[in-house]
Formats: sequence, structure tokens, C-alpha cells
Amino acid sequence: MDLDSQIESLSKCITISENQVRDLCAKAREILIEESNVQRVAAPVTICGDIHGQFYDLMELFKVGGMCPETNYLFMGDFVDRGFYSVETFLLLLALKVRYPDRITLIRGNHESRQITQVYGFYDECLRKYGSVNVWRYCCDIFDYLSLSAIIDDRVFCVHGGLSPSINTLDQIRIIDRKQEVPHDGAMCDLLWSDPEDIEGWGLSPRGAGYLFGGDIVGQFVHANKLDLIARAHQLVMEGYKLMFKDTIVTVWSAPNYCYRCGNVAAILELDENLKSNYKIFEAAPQDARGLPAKKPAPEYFL
Amino acid sequence: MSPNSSVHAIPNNQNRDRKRVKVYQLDSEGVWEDKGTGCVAVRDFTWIHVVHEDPLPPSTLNRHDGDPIPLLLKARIRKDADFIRQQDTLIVWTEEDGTDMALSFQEQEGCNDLWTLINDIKKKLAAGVSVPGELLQRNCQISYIDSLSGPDIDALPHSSEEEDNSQDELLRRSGDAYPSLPTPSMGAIKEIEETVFAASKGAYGRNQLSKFILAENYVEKLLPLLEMCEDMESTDELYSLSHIVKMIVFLNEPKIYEYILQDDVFPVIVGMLEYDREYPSAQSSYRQQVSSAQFKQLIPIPDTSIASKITQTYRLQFLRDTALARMLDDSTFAALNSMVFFNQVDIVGWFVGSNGAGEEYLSKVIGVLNEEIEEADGGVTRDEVVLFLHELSTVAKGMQVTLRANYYRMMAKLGLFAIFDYTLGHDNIKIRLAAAAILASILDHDPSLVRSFCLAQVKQKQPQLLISLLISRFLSDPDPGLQSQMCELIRIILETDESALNGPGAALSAISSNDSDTDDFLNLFYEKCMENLVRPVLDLETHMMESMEPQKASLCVHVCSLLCYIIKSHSYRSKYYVLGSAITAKVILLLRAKDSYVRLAAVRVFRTCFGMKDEFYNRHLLKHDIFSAILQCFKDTNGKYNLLNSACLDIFEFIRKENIKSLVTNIVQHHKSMFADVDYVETFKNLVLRYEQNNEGPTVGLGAEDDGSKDAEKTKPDGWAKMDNDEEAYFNEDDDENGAESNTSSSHLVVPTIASSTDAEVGSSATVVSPSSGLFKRSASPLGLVDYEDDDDDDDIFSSRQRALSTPASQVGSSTPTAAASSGRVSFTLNSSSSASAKRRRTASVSSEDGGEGK
Repeated sequence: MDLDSQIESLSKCITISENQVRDLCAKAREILIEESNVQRVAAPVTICGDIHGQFYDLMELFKVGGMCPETNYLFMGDFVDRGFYSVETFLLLLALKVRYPDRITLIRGNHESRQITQVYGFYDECLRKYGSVNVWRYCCDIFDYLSLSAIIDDRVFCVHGGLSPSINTLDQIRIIDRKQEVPHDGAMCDLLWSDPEDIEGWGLSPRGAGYLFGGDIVGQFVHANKLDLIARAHQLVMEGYKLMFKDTIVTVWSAPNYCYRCGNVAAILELDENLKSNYKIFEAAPQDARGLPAKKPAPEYFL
Repeated sequence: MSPNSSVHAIPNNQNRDRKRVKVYQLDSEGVWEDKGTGCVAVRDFTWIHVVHEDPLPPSTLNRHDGDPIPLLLKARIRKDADFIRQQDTLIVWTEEDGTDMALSFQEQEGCNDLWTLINDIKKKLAAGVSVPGELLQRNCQISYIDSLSGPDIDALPHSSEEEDNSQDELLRRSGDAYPSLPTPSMGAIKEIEETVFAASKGAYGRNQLSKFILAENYVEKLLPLLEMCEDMESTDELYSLSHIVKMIVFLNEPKIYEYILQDDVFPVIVGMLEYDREYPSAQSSYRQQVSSAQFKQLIPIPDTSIASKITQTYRLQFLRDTALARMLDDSTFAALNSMVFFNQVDIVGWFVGSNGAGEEYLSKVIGVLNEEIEEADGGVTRDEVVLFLHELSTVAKGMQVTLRANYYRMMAKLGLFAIFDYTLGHDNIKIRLAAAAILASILDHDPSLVRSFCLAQVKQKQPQLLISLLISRFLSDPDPGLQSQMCELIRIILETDESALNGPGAALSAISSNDSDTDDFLNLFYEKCMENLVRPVLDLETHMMESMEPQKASLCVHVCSLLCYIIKSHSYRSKYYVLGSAITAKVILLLRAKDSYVRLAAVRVFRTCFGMKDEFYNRHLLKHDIFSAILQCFKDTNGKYNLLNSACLDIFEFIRKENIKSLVTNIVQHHKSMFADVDYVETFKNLVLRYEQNNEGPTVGLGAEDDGSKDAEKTKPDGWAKMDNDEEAYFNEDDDENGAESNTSSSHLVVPTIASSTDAEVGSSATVVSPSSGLFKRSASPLGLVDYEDDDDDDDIFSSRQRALSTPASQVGSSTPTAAASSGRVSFTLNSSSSASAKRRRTASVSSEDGGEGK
């Protein structure tokens, strides 16, 4: 089965075989290993936040934003966990990445991690859908290769979590060897875990990883790196997006009705070729558009 | 939604109906006296009730008759009474006895609701409407009863099933013990649905409903309706029936569960659940799935209650994971989980029970596996036994630690550790995967068990040790996923206490393993296994770098990752191995591999060595002219900003920051030409600067030359500095300058919260740090990131579910003494095919040349 038919299948929320996952990951690795820690992206591009395995809502996102490759996409991580379809969601995005490497950019979120996925659902989902942990392993190996951030036309910096006290300039991100499990501290961890907050300077994060950073920090960073805007995800925003600190940083959240119960709307941020921004809001897929989660019980059981 | 619209509120709006009020009474001196805060509702059509806000003790909540709950206010709405609305949130009136009363609402919306209702009721009273007829509908509509949670609730609505306990007053109204549901018939389905829906919104109603359903055997009476509706093709009734069953299940009444899980009832229940109003196009095939699912008893389980518990557990899981998966609320999810958990405790408990029945059973089953015959009596195949053991170990994995320890102690005795000879090399991938999963769950429990088993095998002069078997399977398994799993299993076996003190089984392994076992095992491993493990790399030849089979390449990558692990964790043993073998030269070869991910893996091995900050490693690597190789690899990236380029830069940045002089000197003196033209980062420029400073004489104010931010990176972005204490000590005596530098640098921090930690500490940033101490506290768990009680708003929502999941285990776990039960030694049954004549193979000892190289 070629890539296009895999994409077709995944677009219907039908999983591909374990061997296909393996091959897909091998191809993805070749592409991702060549990407930068701060991947350069050209406008126009549509920036998306957390998806969290809400496959049918991702389909809504594509309806609102246009399909890939007609629209360029940048996904800021947290593809998996929480939703019912992390497997299909991540594999579809990965397949699109392999098929249209210049049209879609995937950067790493804090959930793209062995540790986190074992707690929040992706691990169990792989086990349930494939009967072994192989697919989870293939995916986790690929997580290690995902880029840490992106920069659009040198003006808009995109990262899953936020800033790090050990990073003042984008050049400093270059020196991170990112191919590893997300560490518990240090620059790489902070980029994926930190949150902006109405404080001065830096604060300890209640999440247990990363930091809280205030408007002054954002101001310095934006100035030092000649940026217009920092786009990040990582925090649920009921309205889909939230600008802070005189519009220098925005949180974009793309999982509507998060966990199928939060009642929030979702947003994507479209940047046109002049980096003019346009936020599009969308809601969760209607119930009847969703299939039933494929959870076939084992035909035989001993216990 | 206005309170006067349809009877059934949309669940999400329910919360908004809950309104808090303050009750005031005008005293004799004309002062409004605050009588307290409570929740207002209209009862019995014409009575305004305000219930005390303070939560009532559970005993009073659950009563279904007897004393009424004392009310803060009970006021009758009379058709002639003057209720006056003041401002947005105030309603004032005069009682029949002349007392002036007022209700002050927290929210305007609540005030609106009651105001509309009062007027509505007055109008009806005036029109002479008979009261009782409307009682029911009216009451289930107007229940303002309190929400303890305040206005936040609107920001984050809960699902309807999480309604606050005290909400529904429908059933409290009537003096009857039970509500009455219509006798089940097709015509009554709608009415049943509505009544059950109304009643199941509050704790009281749910309680009453459960009692009624049990007393009347109501579920049983519903069962025939499925067939009737299907015969009539009454789709809408089928949806309602499904809804009724769901609501009944969500009552979480153990006796109801007990009933619906019965053999003849369960298929009908799941049949009803096949219909879903929300998914009109998709009818599920639960009945078919349930009827085809087969409970396989390899050998009939003598205890019928255990056998039926197993079936019951399967059905509970079917409800949880399949039939109700999409609509589960937290309390039902928790209820199902805890029923499953306690059933499993009983099941595993039976297997390891003191009466010996389970042991006898397991010994027969495992006997089938360890005998040489393909098929034992009763047609039990060895493969089925493996699958059974896989399921059993998956279940055991979820048990509390004491039970697990008992389980593994028994399984070790019965020969579980000896099944891998047959299973790990099986032709059928399914069996191999099961075997890997069984081994993984043993390791998850306590890796020292496997180490001790291997030592026992040595004592018994077994021809092949489990660790050797695992290594040979790792090297030869054709399935790349399984290969990667086995790599991980090997790594866990090599995880010794010093390197994994904070592992999940830490408490236990600290007790059950002893240091000498670990030492003996590592000696054994380095003596007999290490060479085999790294064989794929040792066998590399220059010409192979041109093109490598993907299989071979991935094997080399796995070996590199294991090398990284042991270099970091096994201090001197791994060092002697690296220094005394040809491995370094071979890994250097990999820097020329065609695939960049292979080169990357090799780079990381050297990065790990440098990370040890050990002059023995440094000298050894310099002898192999390591920087020619690394810089060539770096140069081949052509300055392209990719992963390999970054990984190489990371090495040089690390060496510069740590000022590892021997390396700095070598790089600058011998390889300057290789990086002279690199202008896209400052790393090399700074490296040269550092070299010059080092040679300028006394090292005055080294740190001062740098900007503070770079030194701030000393917190080790990548966690490489994880070294254990003796290495740290070793390093300190070896190279004082670094210690000195990190002290200097801490004064340059931009940010007070990230104290420059000493190198050995790479714990979590979660703990509060005092900058002066310069130490992070290490987080106790490797899951530090996730354990944190709420890593974010997003994670917050789920914490209740997480808690629900973990509750049973932790409760039971904490109430049982863990240490005593697990401290005993474990005895193993080795494979019967052990042959005394097999000689313990001697491999060439590499340790004889220990460290010679470095001298």
C-alpha cells in the first residue's frame, strides 16, 4: 500500500498495519533528522495547537483551515493522549509529513514522550489497537526526532510550551541535542513545558517542569530576537486562543470540547504571506460525524 | 433556558439552575437580620424551601423518610401574597404572620428563575389549577438546590451525571419510600425514560430509584422489551430503552451490577446498549461480540466462584472498554474500575492462596509448558499456556505490591522463569510478544528477580542463562519492534540499584535484592555476556559503512544506546570494558555510516563518555583521535542546521562549558583547521578563547568572560550529568578547576530560581530551590513530571479520574505491610532440561587488562 492510500485510510480513522507504521516511521526519521531545532518555515502558514487524539475534531480543523497540502500547516505538538484516536491522529499527521515534507511542520509537545504517554493514554491505546507495544515504540522513537520549535519568516517563533531561562537567543537552541526523551529540566524541557503568566521575571511552574515567565521576559526575548510574536500551545483556552503581554505572545488551542467535555471552542492561527494574522474558531465535530471507537474485545480470554 | 420550558433540562444547563441565596428577616427594630445562606427550591408546587448550605452528614442525605431535613426557610406562595422584586437579585415579601422576609440571590439568573416561577404559580392559583396534577413536573423542573462549587462551574461544566448530591428533590417530596416507575411495556418506555432521567439527577433520587428497581426486579421486567421493540422495529423506543439501561447502570448499585452481569441477562443488556440515539447510523454488534467471546479454561478451575468472577470481570471490562466507553462518567468509571480491581485481587489471591488450590492449578498449567509434549491431556497446547500466563501477568501487574510479590515468589517456584527457553525463540510472533510481555512484567515488578535467577542458573550449571538467551534473541529476532523491546528489557535487567534508586519497584528491590547479588550479576554479565551483546558493533568493518542493511543498522543503534546506558550507570565496570576492548574503534567507524541516524547514535556514545568527565575516558578517546572522527562527521553536515549538526555542537559546547582542559587543548591544537570557517555559532570561537585563557596562566575569573546566560546553561539542558556519587567524587579529585568554575558561575545567574546546581544533581525543578543552597532536590519518582498533582489545567480535569484509578490499589497497598512479605528470598525452578554435564563456558576475561590503556 502506498503512502497516498495510507493517508486515505487514516483520513477515515482506519489504522494502518504495524509494518506500515514501522516503514512510515523509518521514512519520517529520514526527514525529521534533517530538520533544525528551530525549523524555518515560510508564510503563509496555519498554526495549530494541541490536538490530543481528537481525530474527528482534527478533521473539523482541516475543514475550517483547508486540507494539506493546499494549506501549509504548523502543528505545535501534543498530538497524542487524552482523546480516543491518538494513534490515527499522529499517524495521519506523520503520513502527511512524509508525503508533503515542506507543507507541514510538526514540532514536539510535552506529551510526545515515553513517560507521559504511559500515563495519559497513548500507550494503552496502542496496546489495545495493535495488541503489542511495538507501535508505541516506533512512535516514541520518532518523537525523539521531532523538532523543538519553528520560526516563520524570521518573525514568529513557535514552540509548544514557552521560553527557558537558559535560552536568550534562538541561536542557543541550535546547540541542543534533541534526540532524547524529554528531560526533567534544562532548556529542552523548558521549551516544552513552560507557561506565560502575569508575573515579573521567572517563577516556578506548578506543573513540576518548566517555568512560568512574565511579560518582561517575553519582551526581552522578542526584542533580542527581533520577533513580532511568539505562538505557543500547551494550555487550554476556552475561547480557542489568547493573546497576552501586548499581543507579543499567543496561546493557540486546537482541541475543541477538550477531552469531549470541557465545552471550549478551538482555534487556529492563519498567517498570510505578509504575516497578517487571522484567527479562526471552530467547534467540536458533531456526534454523528464520529465513528464509534474501535475497541473490539478479545475473542478469547483466560482471565 | 427558562424554567418554564420543557420538563427535561439539557444536562449542561442543570448547574446553572443551582442558586445560592441569603435569607433575611426584618426584626422588630427594622433591621434586616441575616438568617443564613442556603439553596432555594420550590417544593410541593407552592412552597419555597431554602436548605442549609452546610453539607449534611451522609446519614441524613440518604434517608428516604423519617425526619424532614431542617429548612432555613419554608414559605408558602399564596395567590394573594405580594412578592416584590427589588434590584436584580432581591425578592421581598410579607408572610401571613406579618414577618417581612427577603431572599438575596447570588446571581441574577437565579433570581429571574424564581421570580418567573412565583408569578407563574400565582397565576395558576388564581386560575384555580389543581395542584397535585402538576406536582411532579413542576418539581423536577425547579430545583435550585445548591452547588457548593460556586460560579466556576459555568466555566468548566461537568457532565450531567456528576450532579451534586442534593440536587434532586423529586422523590423526597412524596412521603413514599420509592418512586414508582410504570410497569414496563412498549407504550410506557418514554415515560420510564423521563422518570428515570429526572430521578437519577440527584443522590437521593438515585438512591430511591435503586431501591425501587431492586425491590421490583425491574430490570428483569425490562428485558423482554428489547425483543418486542426489535420485532416492531420501533427505533425510537430502542433508543429510549438503551438510555434507560445506561442510566440504571450509572446508578452504580452493586446489586444491580450483580444482576445484569448474569449469564442470561448480560447479552440482553448489551443488546439494548447497541442502540444509541447519538449514533443513529451505527448499530454495534455487542451481542455477537459477547456471545462469541469464549472463556477458555485450560484446565477447569475447581473453584466455581473464582471461575464466575473471571467471567464477571470480563463483562465489567466489556462495559467499561466497549459498550459504555464513550459515555462513562467519572463515578461509573471509578466504580467499574474498582469492581474489576477487587475481582482481580480475589482471582490472583486465589492463585497464590494459602489453601494451595491455585498453586496446584498453576503447577499443572506450567507443567504443560515445561514438558516436552506439544499437547497435554484435554487438548491444552503449550501456546495457550503462554497466552494464559501473559494474561495472568498483566493482571498481576496491577495488583498491590505484597500480592505481586507473593505471586512472583510462587511463580518463580513453579518455573515461570524457565518458560523463556521455549517462548522467546518461538516461530509464532504472537508467542514471542507474549513472552516479552511476561518478562517485562516481571522486570517491572523487580529486576533483581531476573538477576538472581541467572545466578541460580549459573550455580546449577545451566547451559544457557536467561540473560544470554535474551541477548541472543535480541540479536536475531526478525521483528524490529520486538528487537527494540528486548533491548529495553536488557537495559532494565542492567538497571542496578545505584542507577535506578528511584525506579517504581525501588522500595521492593531494595529489600529483596542484596548488593552482592547485583555485584555477582554484573560480574557475570561483563565476563560472559557483554562481548556478545556488542557483537554487531565489534564485527563492523570499514567497508560495511557504505551500505548497511536496515536491520543491521538498527541493531547497531540499539547497541549504542545500551552502551550509553552502561557507561552512565556501571561506573568502573563499563569503563574497564570500554578501555579494554576494541569497541571504541568500532563505534568510531559508525561515525562514517551512511545513515545519519546511525552516525547520531555513535556521536551520543562519545557524548556520554565526555559527560563522565573522566580523564581515563578522555585519554582513551584522544588516543583514538576522536576529534578527527567527530569533526569529520560534523563537517559532513556542511553547516546544515540538522540534528547531527546540533548533536556535534552539543559536544563542543559541553567541553567548552566544563572546560575539560585535555580535550580543549587537543581540539584547538590539532583540529583548528576543521572548524576555522564555522561562523554560524559562537561555540568554536569561544572554545579557542577558552584555550587561550587556559594558557594565559592563572585562571582568574574564568566565568567572568562569559555572559551569564551561557553559564546558566550549566543546569544541564539534557540531563547528561547524571552520575553517581563515586564517579562524582572521582571526578572531583581529578579535576578541581571545574568545581571552582561552577562556584564562580553561580554568581552570574540571571535568574535566581535556577540556581546553578552541582553537577550530580539533576533532579526536578519541581521542588522549591533556595539559590544559596545551590541544590535541587531530586524528585522521588521517575514520573516526577506526571505525578505532580496537576501539571496543568488540562491535566487537572483528569486528576479525578487518575485518582479514581489509583485509589483501590493505594488503599489496599497502604494498609498492608509490604516489607515483611517481600523480604524472603525467592527460590526458582530451573528448566528441567538443565544438564549437569554442560560446562560453564569461559570467555576470555577482559578484566585482566583493566585500565592498562589509561596508564
